[in-house]
Formats: sequence, structure tokens, C-alpha cells
Amino acid sequence: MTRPSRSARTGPRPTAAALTYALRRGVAGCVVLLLCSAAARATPSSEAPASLLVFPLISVDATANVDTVVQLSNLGDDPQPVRCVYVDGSLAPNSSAAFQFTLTAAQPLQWRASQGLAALPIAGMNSGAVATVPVVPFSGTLRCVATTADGTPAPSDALIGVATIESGSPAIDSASYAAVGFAATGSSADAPEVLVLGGAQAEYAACPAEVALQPLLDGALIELGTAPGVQRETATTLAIATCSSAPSGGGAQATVTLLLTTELGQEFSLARGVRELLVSDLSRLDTNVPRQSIFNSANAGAPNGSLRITANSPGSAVLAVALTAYVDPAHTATAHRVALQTQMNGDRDLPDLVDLGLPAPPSCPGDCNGDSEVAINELIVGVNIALGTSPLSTCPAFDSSGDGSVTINELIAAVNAALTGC
Amino acid sequence: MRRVSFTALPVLACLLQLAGAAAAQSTSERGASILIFPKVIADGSADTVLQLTNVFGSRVSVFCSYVDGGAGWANASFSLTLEPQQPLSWVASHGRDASSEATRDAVPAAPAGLRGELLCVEVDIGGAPSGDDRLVGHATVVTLPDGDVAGYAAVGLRGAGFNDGDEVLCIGGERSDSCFTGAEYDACPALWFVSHPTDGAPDAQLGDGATLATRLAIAPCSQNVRDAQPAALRIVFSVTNAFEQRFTTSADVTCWADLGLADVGDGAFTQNVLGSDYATTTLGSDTDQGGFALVAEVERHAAAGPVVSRAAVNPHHAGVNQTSDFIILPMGRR
Repeated sequence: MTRPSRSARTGPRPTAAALTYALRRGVAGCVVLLLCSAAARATPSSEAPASLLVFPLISVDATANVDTVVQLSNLGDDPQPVRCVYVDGSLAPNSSAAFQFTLTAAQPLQWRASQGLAALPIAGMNSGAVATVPVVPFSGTLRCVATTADGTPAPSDALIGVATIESGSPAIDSASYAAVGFAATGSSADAPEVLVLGGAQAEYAACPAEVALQPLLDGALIELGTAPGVQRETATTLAIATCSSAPSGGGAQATVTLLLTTELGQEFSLARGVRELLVSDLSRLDTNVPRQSIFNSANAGAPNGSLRITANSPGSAVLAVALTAYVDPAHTATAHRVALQTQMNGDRDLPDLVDLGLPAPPSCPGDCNGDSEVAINELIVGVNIALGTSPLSTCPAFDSSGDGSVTINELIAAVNAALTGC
Repeated sequence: MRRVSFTALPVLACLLQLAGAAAAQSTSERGASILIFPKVIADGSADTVLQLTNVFGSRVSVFCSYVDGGAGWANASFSLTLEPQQPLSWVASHGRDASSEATRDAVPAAPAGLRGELLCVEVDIGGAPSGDDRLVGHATVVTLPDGDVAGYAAVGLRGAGFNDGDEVLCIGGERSDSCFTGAEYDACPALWFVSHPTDGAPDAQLGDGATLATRLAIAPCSQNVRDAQPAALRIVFSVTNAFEQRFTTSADVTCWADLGLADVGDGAFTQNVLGSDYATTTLGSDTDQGGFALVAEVERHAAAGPVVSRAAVNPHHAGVNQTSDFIILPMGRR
């Protein structure tokens, strides 16, 4: 196309030519680029590199053949240590797990949540490992933060992340979303185990005052293609995660107001409580009878909704991701899902706190279900883990040493607990 | 294709510095004044559900144009008005009739065989472009007849100050003969980052023989809708594997492209060449060229080869393209 003429450019920012040169030549030449300022972003973003990444929904369900592929990349030119924490939405005992590893310069990393990575790609340069999710089924969050070599959180807006929730046979499907990134402010509060998001002592960008998304309402009927067209109905699952996190403190809590505006201009609102994570079908947010829900397309009289979610004070702010399934009304074809990106509006005034500490390890080895007893079936689970026929995630309580395996000593400790009590 | 081994580069640190100065970048997660839907298909093999929402508290008018990249260039335009906070949707192959309670504006069916993009611009009541950042959008491409879906958020460009309301929309850059007051809209990104499996990497969940592949839909930020003149770009790809090794290549895009990474750079993106199952690819425009919008899609192939599932994602980005982009709207569209 013909471009209008333009005058010479001025200004401190690097040119596209410089960027392209750097890209193509693989050389520095970017002293000029380094001159540009790095003012911290005020709001979180799922589009830009950041120091803290939050994946609001990680799903693993062996029964349903569901798993989540996590991609985490270091865009920086230095090695980047990272600490991550899985927190299951149940907050049950042993349902959180932490792990650390180091990414090399510009390195991408990918793992399945059900499998983790026992070894990273470059021996001698990568260190650490990626843990499996602590329990299966798992429906929870993953938070990863850039750190120094000793594990202390540190500003380094070099991380990007994408999660893909996958289903295998017989209902093969996949849906991807980008992690929410929080840029570092460069400030450091006193407690290294607690990340401060927003507020007067912010270490990271503030959580959003409101998250918004525009789902097709449940049961909306869509005609696709021309004769012989295809019909699909929509059904959305909404995951709302607290922006704060406190797995060792009983879970961060939020009270949210959900305001739905339909395409006809009708407004409906409701309030829900969230402790760390709420995962719900859209039309079960307000009722146990989905066909009576305000999120049901037939009730709303329209297929489209605009949903704004606001966290009330006091309490945590929230983040969200939604998965909309396109379902064959005749149920003869597989349902397929897309992830909806949310908008994050405004800055929250109050700080949100992410506690990287995990609940104290169980005092009762082999107590898989946290009932303060060790049953024979739990001992069998432990033996299977020790033999390598079951993953540690089936009962992390056997791994008293936290070394990722179950030894004979740990089995004996569990047997003693079964015989003498916890 | 040029292949360059990678050693630690300061360049990405520079880019991250740029990312920090992100106040004037495109966005798919905030209200914007220009929306680019980089991939809209309505050609019988797939259809697209398009959602457009006014996130503002007052009425907004919108001018939209389909750009058919598959046909070389053809566009079809329409206008509609959204009430405060109003969401609307339509299916590309059908459009939307004017008889609904929600709107009196009809959306025409997309041009037959459409493979391209949808461009929507916020306008005032008189039809002049405005920059109040009231729009968000989402698209879901549905493969027919199996119903597989891949969804992404529209790429938004926010208003950047004074807008003279003429038909030339000035995106990024400095003052010029055509843009006396400088940029009217935020610039397109300088760089995009795509995390993806390498082409041919195994799909562990689907088992033996199942593989993964990646497609990229690329829409130049400059579009001359008025004169139906397609923009042309050279896109530079730089892919880094899990072992810190880097390879570069390039591809030319005119008007619009839906590229399989397998078709780019003589196999540079294949698992065989890269030696790892996943990689991060950085994309940027060649020297002094305009920016582009991007959406990535990962395909899961069954052992026999057919695609059994797709997932799209909005890639990350950093920096602002310093070369001005221009969208030129048709005269007399009011």
C-alpha cells in the first residue's frame, strides 16, 4: 500500500530497524535500547513479560483424561531462577506443592502438570526440577515468581507463561490461555516469603479492581456454516482465583459481585464467596438448577452477556479465566472448548499478599487423606509409590523427607503410625 | 533461510526494558478504539463466531470491514451501534439481521469464502473515527463439520490523544505530513513472543504417532480499506529451543497470512531440526516496516495425520513499532 510521507523521527525509543537488526544478527548493538526507561506497569497483564505469573486454573484428572501443559519461558539474557507453588482449590492437607528450578538465558520450558520434570534439558546449566501436581485430581492454581539464586523473590520481568488444558481420548480437546503477569516495582518489603501486590509498599503491580469477560450465555444456540449447517450450544465454566494466596493460612478469601449485562441491556447481579479458587459452571453460580439461572440464554432472552466481577473490600482481589464449551445439542460429537481472555480494569487500592509458604508437612507419615489415621489401603499406596508403580502425587504424605521419593524408612514410619496411631 | 547459532544476547534484555515501557502498546485485555481480529474464516471448512462488546457507559458506533486475505484483497464493510455495556455476537457466514431487539443495525454475511481478518474502528455519531477505547472483541473459529474450536481475543489499539477524525488513522510513530498531530492510536508491538511445541513434536497425551503443529495468523496493522491496497511485510522469525540454541528465518506477508510453521524457513521449526519438543519464537517486522497483529494456534494431529483439536492463544508482546502504520477508511462511509 502507499504510505503517506512522514518526517524524520526523533525521540529516545529504539527503532524497529534496531530491533530487527538485533533479531537478525544476534548481536547486542542495543546500548540505545538499554537507555529506554523501564517504568513498571501499574496493572497486571497476560500479554507482557513479568516477574510473577499466575495461572488461575490448572486441571489434572486422570479419570477424565485431562491434563494441563504448562509453558514457561525466560525472555532474559541471564539465567533465571524461579519458584513455583501449586495450590489445589480444595486446600486439603498435602494439596499444595512448591518447587524451584533455574531457566537458562532465553530458555523455554514445558511440562505436563501430571508429570512435572524430574530433569531439565541442559545438564549442568539448568538446576532444580518441576514437581508434579500434589494431588490427583487437581483443580487449582500455579504461581511462579522470579527469584535470586537463593530463592528470594527478585524483580526480573522476564517470564511469560501459557497453559493448555488438554483432554485425551475419547473427548480430545485443548484450550489455551496466557498466565496473568505482574511486573515488579523494584521495591522490596521485609518478608521475602510474602509478595506484596499493589498498595503503598508494592513489590509487584496491583491486582485489578475488576475483571470482565464476555461469555456466550449457557444454552445459547449457534448456527454455523451454510447448508447443511452445524448447530452448537454453549456452556461456560468460570474459574475465579483470589489474587492473594495463603495456602498455609487456610486460604485467601474474597467476596465478589458478579454483574451481568445482556445484549438487551438487562442487568443481573449476585455475590459469591471465593476461598483461593472457585470453579463453577456459569449457570450454577446463582442456582443449583441451571435452567433457572440468569446465565441461561433462554432466561436472559439473549445469547450474549457481559460479565464484570468486582471483589469487595476487605478481602482479596480476584483473577479469572473462563472456558466456553461448544456442545453438540444431539450429543453425537465431542464438545470443544475455548478459553476466554479477561479484561483487567483499574488498580486495586489495597495490597494483595501472596504467601509462598506452604502448610507444615504432615506429622503423620502415610496419612494420605488427612484423617489422622493410616489405613491398610494407604500403606498399599505407599508401597506402590516406593516400587514406582504409582506416582508420588497419589500420596505425598509418604515423602516425609521431601526428596520426591518414598524410601523403606518412610514406609516403616507409616507402618508404625498405622500400628500405634498418628 | 539464514541459520544463526545462538549465544547469550543482550538484545532480549533490551526488549524487556522496552516491555517495561508498555504504556502505549496494543492490548487484547482492555477496551480499545481499533480492534483487529487476525483470523476470521467463513469458507465452508470453518466458520467464525465474532463477539463485539461496548465496555463503556455510553453508546458507541463502530465501523467494521472484513479483509479477505485468501482472495488477495476484497473487503466488505458495515456499521453498527452498541448500547452502553452491550455485547453482541454474530456468525461470520450468516451475519446478523436488523430485526432483533438488541440492535437495529444489520451485520452482513462475510464475503463468500472469506479467509482473512475483521477490522473494527470506533467512530462518533457522525462516523468520524474516535479514540475512547470502548471496544473489546473475541473470535472463535469453528472447524466444520466436526465443531472443533479455537478462540482468541481481538488485538486492540487504544486511542493516543488527539484524533483529527479523518479517514487516515495514524497508528504509532511521530508527526508526519499525514499525521500532523502525531499518533492517534497506540503503536503495534515491535515484537511478539510465541511459546509453542515444535512442529512434529509428539503429543504425549494422544500417544504413538500423534504430533503437534503450530499456525500463525498474521494481519498487518496497516490496511488501506479505501483503495483496497494490501500491505506487505517481511516478518523476521527467531526461534529458541530448549537448549538455548537460536535459529532465524523470514517470511513475506502480503495483506494477510495463515502460516503453518512447517512451511516457514525450510523446516526450521521442526522437532527434527530444533531437537526439542518446544520452543519460543520471537517475531518482528523487517527494517522500517509497519507492525502486525498476530494470533497463534496449536494443532493436535492424530497418528493418521488429521487435526483432532486446536487451541489458539494471544501471544505475548513487547515494545512498540516505531514505523507508523496507517489504516485508511473509505470515504463517505457515513
